Amino acid sequence: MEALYNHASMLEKVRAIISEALDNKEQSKVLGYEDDEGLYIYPWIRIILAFMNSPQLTHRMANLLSKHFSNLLERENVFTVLLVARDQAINAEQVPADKRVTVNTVTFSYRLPFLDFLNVAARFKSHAWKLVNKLLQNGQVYLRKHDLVRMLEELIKLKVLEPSKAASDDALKVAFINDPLLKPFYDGLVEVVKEKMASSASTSIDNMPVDDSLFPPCINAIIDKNAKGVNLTHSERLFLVYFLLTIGKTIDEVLGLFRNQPDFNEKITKYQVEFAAGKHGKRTQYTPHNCVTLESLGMCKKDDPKLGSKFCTEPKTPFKNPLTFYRRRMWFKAKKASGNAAMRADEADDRGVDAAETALNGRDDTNAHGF
Amino acid sequence: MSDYVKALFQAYYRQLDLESLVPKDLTKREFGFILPGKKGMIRHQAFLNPKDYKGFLVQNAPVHAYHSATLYNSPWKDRMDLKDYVGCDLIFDIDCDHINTPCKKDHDAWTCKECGNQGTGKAPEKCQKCGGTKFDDKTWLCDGCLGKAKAETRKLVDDFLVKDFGLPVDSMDIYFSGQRGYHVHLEHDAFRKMSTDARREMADYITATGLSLISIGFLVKTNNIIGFTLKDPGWAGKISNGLLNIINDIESGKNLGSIPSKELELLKANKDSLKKRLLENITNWSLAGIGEGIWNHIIERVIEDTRCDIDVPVTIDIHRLIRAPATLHGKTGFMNCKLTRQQLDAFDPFTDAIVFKGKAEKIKMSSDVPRFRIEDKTYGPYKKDETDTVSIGAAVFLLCKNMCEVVH
Repeated sequence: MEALYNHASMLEKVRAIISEALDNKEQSKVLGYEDDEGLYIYPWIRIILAFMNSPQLTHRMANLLSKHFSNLLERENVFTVLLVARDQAINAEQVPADKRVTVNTVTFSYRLPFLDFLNVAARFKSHAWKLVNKLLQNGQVYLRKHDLVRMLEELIKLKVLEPSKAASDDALKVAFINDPLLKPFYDGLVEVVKEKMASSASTSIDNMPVDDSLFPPCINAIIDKNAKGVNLTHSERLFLVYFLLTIGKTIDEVLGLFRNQPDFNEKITKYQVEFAAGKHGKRTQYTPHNCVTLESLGMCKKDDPKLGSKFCTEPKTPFKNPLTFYRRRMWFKAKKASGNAAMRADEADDRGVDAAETALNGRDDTNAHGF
Repeated sequence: MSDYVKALFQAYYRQLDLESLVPKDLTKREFGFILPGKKGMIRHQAFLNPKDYKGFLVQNAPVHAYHSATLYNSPWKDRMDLKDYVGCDLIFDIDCDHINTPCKKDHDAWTCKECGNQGTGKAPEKCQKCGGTKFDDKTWLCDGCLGKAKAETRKLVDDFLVKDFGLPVDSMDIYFSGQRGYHVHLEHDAFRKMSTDARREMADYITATGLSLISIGFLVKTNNIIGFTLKDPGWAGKISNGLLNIINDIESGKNLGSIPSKELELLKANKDSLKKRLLENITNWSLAGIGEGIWNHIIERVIEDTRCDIDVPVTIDIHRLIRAPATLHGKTGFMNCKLTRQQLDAFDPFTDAIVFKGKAEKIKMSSDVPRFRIEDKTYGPYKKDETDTVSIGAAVFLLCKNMCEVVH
């Protein structure tokens, strides 16, 4: 903590950076280009984020820092970018001039092993980042400098989101929040964060009843199939249960749906739905499959002529999980009810939903237990 | 499983050397078995040494033997969260069930469990007569189906894993599953560490799932169509090469039934010009009569022929059990065979996976039996109650399918 005492301006900078993050800024005016103080500030930001234990604040800070540094990296020469990439286990290299790939006048001058690419890019939502849409040859993915920087941006984001050891260091927390100089600083921060978060969460969807008419196409397709008494596949059953339980349907409501199944057995199905709700086994509450997984399993219906939705195909902000589709539309509904309907549902600020999406990590539990 | 088959399975395991039987990292894998006369699978088995594993197989002669693709520090624990995940082999599965072959109409059949309605080929989603959704499926093995599965495996290894992913061919183990397909295993640490997301991306690349023509550079500008070149990496190059293959097939008069007639006529009319542009790496694909819509149809067909039909959930699931090497398949009596890429070319599952050879057995059919081949001899078709004297391999095959009994 001595560092904070010795550099009084650092406290002010930490406060200012947190304020920038709370305002959803993507560029920091506090962190300079040639400013070494950033090196000292970063550990303290991580520690304070850990003590505050606010997923929303951590997410916004991750966004601010990753965007800020990616802007700096864009301005760096290619050797620096390659050096930073290698430091982060991205073994990218510049392609010799005679081996560069040009597609429609765009030249791809860098390449990296496909496993290094997937370690980072498999998390991206956009179709353009899927491996199937990349230039892959002999185990190497060909990219532009801008693409490398984008990958590094993601890595910075992940580093900030990574749980910090400080979170479990109770002695450090007690010493920090009871320190005569730091206490007022920390208490002040807690107040500001509380205030800002409360204002952005004013349109809460948490207590609204579930609205079946706002379901995404992938869920509607399974519900239609179930209504017709068609036997659902194992993956369809899991996805339906995880989705409905996550948005607030009760175990009995979900169980009721399965009565339509030709192989319905109340005792077995009840146990399985309860398992999915975390009442048995390792007591995990599962989250529904992500959109990319649904696509791989052939369960994505965004392009279905009857069920498809523009909220899936043309979202202003891409999303990873069908839960976001539902929650954005619910948010819009809540906003409309409170008298402010001047935006499309998919333009809705993610503030009410981004913490939940952050928690979804693409897990695939298709073999978790047997329906 | 009859006592007759069980005794044969036991004799097979008794004479087998440990090296071919024991999977890599034996002690870190969970095993699962379906045992003769027992219902369901016994899970969470683990073995501390190869001899114990072989002893278990000799004693129990499992109908099916599986091990986890995953390595755990405590594979014997009965809850997944307690097993302590270490990593998971990367597995690709090619299964006849997922591949449409015309012969299925001839040898596969289904019966509706509700009303008894019957049909041939793959069972429908719903019975047309009563709307029932549960069926008894009778599937059969033939050279056509397994030949197609082998061709898909070659495509997976040569066109995707070696050419695109740059993997040395000796870094992968190829297995004939013992029944309806092939598995390719990648057991290097780098693959074992892959996340589910990364595995899904590899599977999507191989199956062309999520492929976006615009993202890979296909452009339509007013009347200009900008395509790809043969040397482009990734799917752009695959599409160009697929297109060139079609033109070569047109020139050699091959049957191109998978391409709709309108598109085929237009390709025939423009074949010389298109071939020249492909060979000279010219990306201007604007051709008389072929607009954006027609191009999309043609490219769709090329993608369909070029993609590889792997069973995606097997690749992305990191907790799956897979058939153990060199074990016998309880539905055929065939051995799960490990193959090199070179061996795959000449591999004949109906000969090379047969472990019980010679010795004639008199058998009586307990149901109608379609024609089948074991080694170089073709048997059947048989009617129910018909008798015949067949090789022991053929007898085991039918006994495993519950279609005959041995006449003593």
